[in-house]
Amino acid sequence: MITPEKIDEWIKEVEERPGSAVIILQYISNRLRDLTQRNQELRADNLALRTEKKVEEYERRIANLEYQLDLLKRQFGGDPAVLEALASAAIPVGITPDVLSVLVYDAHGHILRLETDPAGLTEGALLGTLPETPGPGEEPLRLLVSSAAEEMLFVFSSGRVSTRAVASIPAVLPDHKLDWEQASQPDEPRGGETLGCLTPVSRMALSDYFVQTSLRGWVKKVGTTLASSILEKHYIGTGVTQPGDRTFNVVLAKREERLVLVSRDGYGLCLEVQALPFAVESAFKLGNLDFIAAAFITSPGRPVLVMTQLGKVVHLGADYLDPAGSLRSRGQALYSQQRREKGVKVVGAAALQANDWTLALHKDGRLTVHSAHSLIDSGAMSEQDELVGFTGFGLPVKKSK
Amino acid sequence: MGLKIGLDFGTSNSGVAISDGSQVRLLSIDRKNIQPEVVKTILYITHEYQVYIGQEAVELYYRHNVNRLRRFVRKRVGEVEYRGGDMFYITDVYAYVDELLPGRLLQYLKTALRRSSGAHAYTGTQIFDRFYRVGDLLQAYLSQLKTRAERELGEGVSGVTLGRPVKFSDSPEKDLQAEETLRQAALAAGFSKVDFELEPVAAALFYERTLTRPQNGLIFDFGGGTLDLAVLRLGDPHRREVYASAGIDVAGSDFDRAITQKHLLQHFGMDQAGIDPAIIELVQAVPDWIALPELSTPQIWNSLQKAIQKEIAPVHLKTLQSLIFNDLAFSFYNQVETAKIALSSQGAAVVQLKDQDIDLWELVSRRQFENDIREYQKVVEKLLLDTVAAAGLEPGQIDVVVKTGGSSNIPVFTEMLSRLFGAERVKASNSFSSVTAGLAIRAHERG
Repeated sequence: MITPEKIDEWIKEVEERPGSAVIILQYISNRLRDLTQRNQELRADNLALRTEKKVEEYERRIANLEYQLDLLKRQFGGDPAVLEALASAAIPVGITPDVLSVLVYDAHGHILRLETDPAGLTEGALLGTLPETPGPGEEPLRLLVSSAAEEMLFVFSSGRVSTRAVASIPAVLPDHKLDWEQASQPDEPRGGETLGCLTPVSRMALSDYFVQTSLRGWVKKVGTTLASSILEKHYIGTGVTQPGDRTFNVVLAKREERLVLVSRDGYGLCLEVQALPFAVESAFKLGNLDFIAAAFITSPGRPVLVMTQLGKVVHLGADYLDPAGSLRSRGQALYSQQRREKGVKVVGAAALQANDWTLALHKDGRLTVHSAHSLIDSGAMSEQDELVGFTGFGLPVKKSK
Repeated sequence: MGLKIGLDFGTSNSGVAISDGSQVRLLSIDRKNIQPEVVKTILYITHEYQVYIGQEAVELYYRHNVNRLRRFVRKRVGEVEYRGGDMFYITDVYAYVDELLPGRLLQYLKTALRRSSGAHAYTGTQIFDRFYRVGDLLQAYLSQLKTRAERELGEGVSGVTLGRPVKFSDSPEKDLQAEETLRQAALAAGFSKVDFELEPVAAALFYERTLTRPQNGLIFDFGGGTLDLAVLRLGDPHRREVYASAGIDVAGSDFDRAITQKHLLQHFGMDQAGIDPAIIELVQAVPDWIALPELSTPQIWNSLQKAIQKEIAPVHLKTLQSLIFNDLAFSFYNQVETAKIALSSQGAAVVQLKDQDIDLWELVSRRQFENDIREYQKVVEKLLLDTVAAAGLEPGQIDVVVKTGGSSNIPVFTEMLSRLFGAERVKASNSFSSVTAGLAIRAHERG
């Protein structure tokens, strides 16, 4: 604050050294110019408040924060102690969900949801049998396992997004002969668009970015600070620039985590989330006929399990995939050239630890669960038949108080 | 056998030079600095224990820290034994640690060295999981300087003549201990031959090269941490004699603190009615470069936040909160120092800090500054006269007064020297390099 005493001091300085007048005048003029500009901004803000524009903006922001809080509450069963621990200490706190939801979906937005008891998971258990699996040239089915309390972001090839609670998707019973007639279509793709992926978003408030990957290995990230705008406008962008390319996946990530991309032809690429571009850029230089088979987020030091269509496991140790120094990398080969030439393809991959589980979709339509531990130990599925889909999921242990 | 260099380890700035007996070469030790032959005495140690110095350290610190995220976790830091009456028990001690802290910036290493012994000594600091003693910090800095010097010279350096103030401390034991700590740090940094020269004597050696006849000289070396004086017979290298020397720990950093205390604390809530005394204590810690970074704890955040919500001087306290929690302390001290330097050449200067939640602007006139440091002027004048008397000379018998060091450019001190010894006898030597150059000459003489 400029007080009369301070002004007196400046006058005395000028009386004592008249040469100081110019510099004092310059400083005061510059400050006056800054303050005038600031005053203009404040007056504009004031007007916006009076016309309620600001109020509307703040209301929108509050509504979005409440939505994110609600998602978290649902995820953690509304237990404030868990939320508090999660927010304050960054201790890995999870909760064992009462019911797991297994989602099988296709590009047309058809979703089969099976519910299963996580406590009853056994090695090789059959969850259901699909009537038929896609033939050559058809879109592969996608698999996802999540808590029934999750909120799912539907991402379409047009860049459109929408959200649905998992619990709101009708479920079919396990051990049941599955039929696509039972599938629901909560958000039918509009003309010309396909369903790119489903992404669990209840932990959005704890993440820094949405990371979007295309089939041809192009990536971009979007700050979760823009979540309110994305959800309000129902648009996240296509994440593609090349004709023939399409949105493959959107995942949530923290800035210190890593994105792993695994291609159908058996190449892997690891990128630091921090280094990912905000604009769509080619990250993974794939062969002409190759495309992304898995894209997921992992932390440094976590091993990766890659599954081939013949049920063979490629177990990558914690240090195998080094983060690439730049974009447009060819990645690292995950198995030998000889195996590649024999037609070995990747059907899925996940960052898994020994106590995690995996879900496999067989060519004959069977949907089975397997422990990551047994896959790592045996190096292959117990039954040697062809797979068309594979994913992994963890069951975090509830922290004892 | 490697080369031997002269190294001025200053409070604010350092420098390295080498002499072949006829020429002195100041090494471009910090190519990122505006003056490459001067390197800021600043150390930045990252979470991965990578060490950076000078301008590189400053730039990295800004890039890593300003307005960054924080995440505090409670960590056990040790245990404390309680003894009292018939009671004895041990209790664990916890501290809140910011686990996202990317690195620690350390400045005023020489001041830390001066305070490294005695009852309330500054023994060192915890940097992530390691405790760095003062000697370890000095070693880290000196070893970087050695590497840079070797890179500049293109060959190995094995010996060093280090500058030292006339007094590290008034206590002879502490003085010896500080010198020994510096010696051990230099040895640990890889110098196999280490010797010392008083900084004002080094400045005199550099000045002596311009003399054609013997003279009585007074060296007025006024830097960032100390004022060092020496009265010598100069002009004939074979009959050099130091008549008297003296030093006090009054210098540039005290003047920075004076500006902060007299003009800037009010921006953080000092003198505002209704503020909790505990918060006033925080405000009083603002001039203390050691204390301020330690204040960024969740408890202090909460107490400031509560006071802001109660609308007790909210703008002032938000400014304080922003200074502490947005890692703006270094920028703030830099602004104060820049304003002080500007006041040596102009009648007024502004301390300005604009960032998230902070818009600090204060115009300080030279008149105000001179009033702020009036007490120090008296102390300096007394020391000057006492030193000349201890040399057995009258002020009129001093043929030349050589001033060096950044603070020697402050006009009131130049006027003081002119008044005491005559304006025509006061000569300015290179403020930042004369000591370095003199140390290189001494390093070559001793071999």
